[in-house]
Amino acid sequence: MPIEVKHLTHVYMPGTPFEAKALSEVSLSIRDGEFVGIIGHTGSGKSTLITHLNGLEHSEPGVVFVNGVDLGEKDTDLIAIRRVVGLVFQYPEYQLFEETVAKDVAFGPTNLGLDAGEISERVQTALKQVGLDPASVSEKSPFELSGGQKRRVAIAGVLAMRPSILILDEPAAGLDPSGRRDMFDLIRGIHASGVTVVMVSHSMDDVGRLCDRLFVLNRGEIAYSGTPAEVFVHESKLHAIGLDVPECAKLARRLRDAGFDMPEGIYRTEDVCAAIMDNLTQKGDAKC
Amino acid sequence: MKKTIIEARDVCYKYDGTTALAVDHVTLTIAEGEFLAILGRNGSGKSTFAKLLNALLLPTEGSLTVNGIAPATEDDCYEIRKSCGMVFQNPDNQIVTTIVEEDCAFGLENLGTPPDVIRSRVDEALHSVGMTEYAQASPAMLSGGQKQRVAVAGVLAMRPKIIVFDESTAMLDPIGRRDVFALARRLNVEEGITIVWITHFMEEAALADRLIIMDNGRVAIEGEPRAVFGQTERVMALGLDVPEMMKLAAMLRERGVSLPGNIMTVNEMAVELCRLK
Repeated sequence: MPIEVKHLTHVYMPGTPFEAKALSEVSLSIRDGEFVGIIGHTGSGKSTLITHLNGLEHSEPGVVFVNGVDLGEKDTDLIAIRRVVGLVFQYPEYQLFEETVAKDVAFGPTNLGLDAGEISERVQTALKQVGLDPASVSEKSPFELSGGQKRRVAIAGVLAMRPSILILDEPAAGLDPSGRRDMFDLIRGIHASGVTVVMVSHSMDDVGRLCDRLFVLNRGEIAYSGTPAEVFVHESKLHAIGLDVPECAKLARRLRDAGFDMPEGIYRTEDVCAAIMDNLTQKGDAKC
Repeated sequence: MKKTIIEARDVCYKYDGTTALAVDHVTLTIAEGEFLAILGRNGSGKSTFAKLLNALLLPTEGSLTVNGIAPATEDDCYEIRKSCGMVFQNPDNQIVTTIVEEDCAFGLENLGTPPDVIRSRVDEALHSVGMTEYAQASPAMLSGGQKQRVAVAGVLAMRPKIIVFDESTAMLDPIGRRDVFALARRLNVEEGITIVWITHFMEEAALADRLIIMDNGRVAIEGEPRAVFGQTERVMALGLDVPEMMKLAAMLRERGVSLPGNIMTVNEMAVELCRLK
């Protein structure tokens, strides 16, 4: 099991007037090669949770495990863990700092002490992986690039560490619709290459389309978990905690209430379209 | 016919050291009290246009009048900024002090407004955005949506006639987004403030009175949101999206279902489908 969390509780600034419980008794496990979504509104504990997964926040022994290694043990090599678990923060382009794109992407591998040939091979591969042409961008300043390209460079910097688990915090925030589509295609590609992906998001639409399994966080606790279909069934409760289900899931529920025969838990546009067609061709006596 | 509050004629803007026009011959009138949304992919010129509206940038060509003033001198620019406030994407870039109410007072203090007037206007502005109880709080302890409301209060204290929101909801969570959008809508309806709402979110644009899609510095499509989103293929080709129900309507039509062309919401779709069954 690449990630295993057992009863994780986290309190910020304990013993001060600002004491705040960010996570309470969170348990979850993420399987090899899964694409998992973590969703919740601001302050629900999403960011605190993911910073535990690569040891940026320290946990007690016996709570957080990555590939069987207990991150809370004193002698655990957290640097090694951070090579395995790549973390892409929100707006990662703000972290770019080097003179050239190639140097920025090379920063991590260089710190690993790899030789020059290996570093340059990793930089090239990572840039290609994020859809940038190494020949044309390598020597540019990262600050000359567009917002979407900068973000790709930042992700390439994490990929160059060759993580087997990649965690992304709101990777599409602030991008325009076509930029979002491209970003999600990119992440799908990374996942297809065998990387376990954990994506944090506010958007049920996005996680519904991409993820195999979701964890919904509310006030530091896991409120719901399961496949998107299993989670979207809780439409009204999700709404109460500030989350929305995809539009098509709402439509399916409305139509079901009106007497349409709609399968439980459908939310994809294509599936809802097909179910509607089945109903219209049968002709029942629905009332609205 | 409503009074025009913003009039742009062949407005162009070119950044130093570039060859392409960031804003390319935009001709547009905005009526007083209108809620206008502007969509467009990154780099389409939306934000540059926004900065022209409150004289942070001046047109390199063409003419622009805002609330009856065409910026010619520095004083004109200050006048325009008093009548046209701006709320940016990242509230952290806009909030300057460590106490909420001081932040709201910042603009007025710089104008040399008497303290008692500042007091009443700040109280009024914070009340209007629902942040009165946070008047003494530190902005650092607020959520993104709350910070953005403080930024709006700072603008409101200046009693502007127009507020330009430049992707002000981009960094917020769904609740914060809903709150800030609802606030802009309320200021528009109740106080008659003209709103220019720049966004990447289709569902927000769908709720505007009028919608403009910019591309390559130009106005590519303009009209009532339903009519604009109705041109699904064109909108998608401009790198944007259309509301989910419009996509579904297009899929159903392809399969021979006859649906009216203006379905945009779940409710409208449900009603139409029930009628067909």
